[in-house]
Amino acid sequence: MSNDTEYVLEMRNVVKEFPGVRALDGVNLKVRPGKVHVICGENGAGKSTLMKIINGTYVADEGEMYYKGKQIGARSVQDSLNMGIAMIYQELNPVLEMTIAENVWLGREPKKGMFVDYAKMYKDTQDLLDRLEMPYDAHQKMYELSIAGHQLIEIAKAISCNASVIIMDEPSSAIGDEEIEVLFKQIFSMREQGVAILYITHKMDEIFRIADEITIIRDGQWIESGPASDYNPDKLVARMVGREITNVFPKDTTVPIGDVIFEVKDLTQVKEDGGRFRNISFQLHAGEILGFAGLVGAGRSELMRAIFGLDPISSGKMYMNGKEIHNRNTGEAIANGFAMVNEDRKQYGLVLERSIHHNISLVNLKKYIKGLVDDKLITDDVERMRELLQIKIANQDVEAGTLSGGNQQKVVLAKWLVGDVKVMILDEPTRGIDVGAKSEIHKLMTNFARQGMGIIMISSELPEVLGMSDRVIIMQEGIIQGILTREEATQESVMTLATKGVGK
Amino acid sequence: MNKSKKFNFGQFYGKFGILIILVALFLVSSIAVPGFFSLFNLTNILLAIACTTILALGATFVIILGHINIAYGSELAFIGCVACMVNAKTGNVLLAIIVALALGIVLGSLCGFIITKFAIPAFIMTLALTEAARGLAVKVTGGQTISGLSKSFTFLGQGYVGPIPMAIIILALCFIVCYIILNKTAFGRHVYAVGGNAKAAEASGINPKTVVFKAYLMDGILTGIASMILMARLNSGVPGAGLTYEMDAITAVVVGGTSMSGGSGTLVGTIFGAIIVGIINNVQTLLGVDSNVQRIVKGCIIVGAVIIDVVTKNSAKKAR
Repeated sequence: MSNDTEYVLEMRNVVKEFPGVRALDGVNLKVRPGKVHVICGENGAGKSTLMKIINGTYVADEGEMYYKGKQIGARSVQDSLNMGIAMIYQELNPVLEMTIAENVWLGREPKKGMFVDYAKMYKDTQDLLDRLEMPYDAHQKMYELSIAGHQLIEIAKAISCNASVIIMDEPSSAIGDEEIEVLFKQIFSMREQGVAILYITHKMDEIFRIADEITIIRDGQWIESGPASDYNPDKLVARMVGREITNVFPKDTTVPIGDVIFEVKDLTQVKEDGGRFRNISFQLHAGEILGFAGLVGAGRSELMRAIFGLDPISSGKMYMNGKEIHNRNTGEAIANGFAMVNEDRKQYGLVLERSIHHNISLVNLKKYIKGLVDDKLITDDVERMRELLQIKIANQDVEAGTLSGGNQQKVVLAKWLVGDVKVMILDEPTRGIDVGAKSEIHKLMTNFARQGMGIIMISSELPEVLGMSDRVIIMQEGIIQGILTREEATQESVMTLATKGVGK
Repeated sequence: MNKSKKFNFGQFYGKFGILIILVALFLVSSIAVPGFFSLFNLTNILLAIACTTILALGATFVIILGHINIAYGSELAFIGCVACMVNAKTGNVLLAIIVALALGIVLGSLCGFIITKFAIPAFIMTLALTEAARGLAVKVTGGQTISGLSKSFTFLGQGYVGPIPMAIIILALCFIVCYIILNKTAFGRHVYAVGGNAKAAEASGINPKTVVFKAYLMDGILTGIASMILMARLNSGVPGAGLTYEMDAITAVVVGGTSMSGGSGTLVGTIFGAIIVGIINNVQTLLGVDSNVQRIVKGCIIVGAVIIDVVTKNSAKKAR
């Protein structure tokens, strides 16, 4: 069929169904060797499903797949790897206690007779690392490396398998800016060696830095493919969501700012308790969105975890409406009117194997107890939330783990909103969420503020912080470096404070 | 392939599998095994499983939380013997019941406290308790069988109310109470949440340690109740009684579809699981199968049930 060797990988009319959803509906994909091909689409568009079909995790229900000109069908992930299709997952699972070399050769260790040939293993690995200019020793234990380091080792592993196609599913979501540079350098050098790279990301600046070609899918359907030079961010977003987004960050500045509802004075966490912040003082007003900016590791999440009672506070005071409060545990914090949407939805937000119904009722179960739990009351509330937040679910008994990121985040919000929230802490509320759902969540935040809630928002995306916040607090290495008003806050002023250097 | 809605064995089995196995087993046994289908034999099956099924109810809570208790056998012996001594001395059944329940609370909360306070694996804690409680049972009785139980005490295991054995009535009451607790109270919902994702539960204002502690406390109370039924059926307090009862209890829970990794499971499933195990034991006895062979069969059932659990769960997951 495909005598066209221009493409290393070609997918035609791929269809994949899961119970109740058509995850992929006629997707086409043509990947050239030596190119970075970025797959764009909202969360739930089917990007990851497509990648998993390519690497053999799933089997397509319909459609054809050609690899190096030959049609291929169902196969295992290991088969795919042997053929030269490697996938680097969003969440990596290296064996931390083993060395780099052991991880690279895991499951296919070089043998001498019946024993592992360690000499060859370490020499080959070191040669590989040196060739790729990765600054590691093959004998280093995996736990000594950062998450970006783990990703680089995964890439080394893929190259050691002579991969012709390397799939990367949001590799930059868990790593910092400098590490992204190292990753990109590797991607560029692989590209030169003729490797095709399939790359999934939500970050616009990344797309336009590395993409040679772009394929857009929306709701499981192939929309279009083309050279990256044909696109600009506005056009790309418009094609992804199928509509023009006028304002991505719509905080309505006419929302009235009320009195101070929450105040912290001199909050400090000493080393024994974690030591992630010190001398933190700030005020939060009703109707205000208070943004927390800073580099990854500045202690913003840890501060919020402590305020919410998940981690200890060593000294300092907190006041709600002028009255001193103590959030010694999450139960107390919730009783005091706090809600916290954690940055890690899957770990802290949801019980993935339980239903939407169960998840939404979890925080405010007391509200539904008339002697015993009254499921009818929960059902009504969940239905109300489903309409209010536009949660897209077939019914309430759907398992939370089966939803897309945006819908999961709405379920987490709903879980809090059925109760009485005075201070809403949102830690990276739109991380890993597609553009459409993102703007919906921003609109919701404005609505919460209008109802008189005080909102604390941690975000690592500067445009989000600048667009949504009434004031911005900038943290660095556990202290507050500055508090800026909406007018004062610019990319430059915030970044200057975030990187100012901490005098100790 | 079918385009509308694909049949998924994992999801189907998750919902109806145990019931189908139970009905099939019942029908086959009724037709093929002489003496199986009679009121007398069927009552006997229920009577035989009453004690371990009460244990299995508590074990369901504990296992949904991702924990375990393997000390039931020894706990039964210790609690049961002390209750028998109290009853034999005073002739008072109410006092014996109070003592049994109190000891159940003590052992249950001891497990719960140590496991949550020191983050000790439940397996290790209850392994230690298996040894200690058996030692206690032999120590307090001096190794002697306690006889001279009052009629009112033995009634708990041997008596009938109309045509229904008292033990089965106690089991039914325990089931109803547990069912309401697990499905209709905040604590029950919290058990599922903590078993499914303890971190998310904590971030939702639930204290996972409190939930685990309460589950062991409940488990202890149920063990106290079961111990009286066991001793009443034996007509005496036997310090060596209850051996391998933890096996039957855990088997019932696992066969009933509760996941050993926590987060999912039902009490109805556990009851079905217990009856399935009861029928298999009964049929083998009726057919004169050697008791050691019966143990081999039981071992196979446990592994088989877990294999089915894992396989169906994977297939249900794939279907996403």
